[in-house]
Amino acid sequence: MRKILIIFILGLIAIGGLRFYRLGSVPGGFFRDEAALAYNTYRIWTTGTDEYSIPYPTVFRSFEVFFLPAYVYLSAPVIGLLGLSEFSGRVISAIAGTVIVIVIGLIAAKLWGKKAGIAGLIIAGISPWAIYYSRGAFEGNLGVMFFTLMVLTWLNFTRNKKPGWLALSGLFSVLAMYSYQAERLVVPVWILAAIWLGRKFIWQNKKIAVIPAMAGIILLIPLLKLTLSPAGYFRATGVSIWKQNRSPPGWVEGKNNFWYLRIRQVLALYLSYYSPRNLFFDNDYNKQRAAENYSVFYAWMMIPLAAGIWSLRKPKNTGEKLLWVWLLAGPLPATATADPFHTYRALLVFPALGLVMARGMQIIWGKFGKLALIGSIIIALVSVAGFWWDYSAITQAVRANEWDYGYKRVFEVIRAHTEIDRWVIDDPTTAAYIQVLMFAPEYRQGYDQEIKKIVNKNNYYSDPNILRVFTWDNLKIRTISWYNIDTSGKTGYVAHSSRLVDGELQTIPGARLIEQINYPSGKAAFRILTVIR
Amino acid sequence: MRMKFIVRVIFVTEVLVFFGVFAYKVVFKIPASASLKVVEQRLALRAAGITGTKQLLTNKYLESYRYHLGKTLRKLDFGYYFFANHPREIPGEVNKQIFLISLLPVMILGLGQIYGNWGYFLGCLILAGDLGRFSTGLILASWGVKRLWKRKFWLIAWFGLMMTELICAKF
Repeated sequence: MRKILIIFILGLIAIGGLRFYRLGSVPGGFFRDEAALAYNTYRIWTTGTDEYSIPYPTVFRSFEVFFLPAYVYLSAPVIGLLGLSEFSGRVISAIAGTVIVIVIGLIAAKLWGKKAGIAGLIIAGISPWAIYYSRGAFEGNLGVMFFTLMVLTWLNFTRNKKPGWLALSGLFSVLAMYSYQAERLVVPVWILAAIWLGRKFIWQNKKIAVIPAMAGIILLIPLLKLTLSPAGYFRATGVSIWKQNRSPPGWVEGKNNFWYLRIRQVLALYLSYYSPRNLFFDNDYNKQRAAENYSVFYAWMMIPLAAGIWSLRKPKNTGEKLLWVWLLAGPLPATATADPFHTYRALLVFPALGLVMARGMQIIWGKFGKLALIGSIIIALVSVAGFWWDYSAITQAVRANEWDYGYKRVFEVIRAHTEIDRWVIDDPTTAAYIQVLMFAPEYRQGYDQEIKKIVNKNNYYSDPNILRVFTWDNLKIRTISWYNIDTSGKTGYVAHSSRLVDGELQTIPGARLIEQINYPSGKAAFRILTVIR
Repeated sequence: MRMKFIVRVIFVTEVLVFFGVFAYKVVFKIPASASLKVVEQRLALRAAGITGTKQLLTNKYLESYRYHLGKTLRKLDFGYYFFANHPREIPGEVNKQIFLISLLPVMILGLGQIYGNWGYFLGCLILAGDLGRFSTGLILASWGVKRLWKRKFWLIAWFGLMMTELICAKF
């Protein structure tokens, strides 16, 4: 027993290490979505309002994106304690990632025994998706944590009928729905399935089920109230497959059937989340959501997955049936969007696949004995070492541009050059404002005063259009036309390397480079310059 | 008993041949893209201050392994067989649908029959390239239909679905 405890503690340290080691600097850079979460958290902790000066919102907004509040409110004490930084912004996600591993281990142990629990811990602990999404400020990861906790507490309730477990399960389901958009669809589907599959049991225990159910509904009222406003549906409809005016692939008017091709497209998107090619080799289309050379699972995990699916083809109990519901409902939110293999929106399906693999691993260990156990531990260690190398070294070197790398340094340079009167940041999307607020405290007060003139409680939730300040203090965020610029040398220009490409600087007469900020790969990230003619 | 032994021999031979061919390709058929990727990554690592023996962790054999693994796994994709490569269409190529989508459920049903029919399954797999994959798909589908045969309602429903798909795909 003591031996197992020591192994468990060592394993937990290793799992935590993979999530917390150099959390502030790996991934390098701080993506705008992370900055939005961290800065709004900081505002909530210090002023009780968000970046638009709205007090304690139910749904937050940054850019034109509405996001759910659990991550912000849970992060607030952390940022209050540690101060605003990349590390403090990511801590909650790293904690959630560590908890997910333990909970997956516990669910597997509850369903199939101790060995499956250990397999669950190993698989969830080392899987690329689990490490990757734990090391960035991703509210979806928090949603997965609450979802897995909801499943675990529900299983506990069905085993020992204690109302406390049911209350906890209800609470976690509500928290999951307050964490990320995908959970708003998957949690109700799973709950309905759980109620249906356990209807006899629930009917027998209806007295203890009523109060948690009512409490859950009451806690969801603020979110339900917002569902019919743009804050509630804008994000979902904005990315929906039906909203985008794109025809299905292969459609030629008058030549083939639009609806057949649309259904084929939806089915293809849904099944892409179970495709071995996507799960074990080709990763997310968006390089920001993937480590170089790795997909969501390692290629060898195909074997325990196949063994697990074979074993679960005829589910033996309600727990296994609910695992199937989880597995099949997980990709639904991602399927409803036209984006192909979006690992973030389908994040919920990966822990379910991990559980199936844990079952498969247990069967393999049972069949081939200690040799398989030792072999799989060695393979797991080699895999995670390889992943860590690719993630911490190669990905940071070649994909820093995907993580808005360099903004922190930009504002250090701006701060140092007091001889420059005005600054212009070249950004057509104007989303860089959130990086200004994150890394340049001197610009926060000015932004605050200007944004109050534009946004109020009436349009905050109802106006999905751009509500932001482009010019404040001595700063402007806009597109720069290099033919129409201030040539007195009193205006500083900040241009991303995609806006002022290599060699273009020499074509601007009188351009003087103040500093070039490079990615770790040595390629230019930003060029900061002034023009004197 | 003798048949079981032959099936086992075929199975082991197929596995060994598969891994042997795969290892041969990894070592001796290193694609130019893999070498190029290694050079790019090493340059980036050097710029990031990672030099010396650590750079050996990025090498052309590992990249070659990934390249060939990717090539193999691309054939394990629903999109490749049923959805004309969607959502991973290959640019510049005609992306064709190989099987009707309505064959997918019966193929999944057919998977359950592999256990008692290893001989047929391995016989199909032994055929090289596309021919092997297509015959495997068709054998799975026929096993699936065989299972449906006893449940008339589901058989008729599936047949109706297939006919609907044929009509919709054409018009």
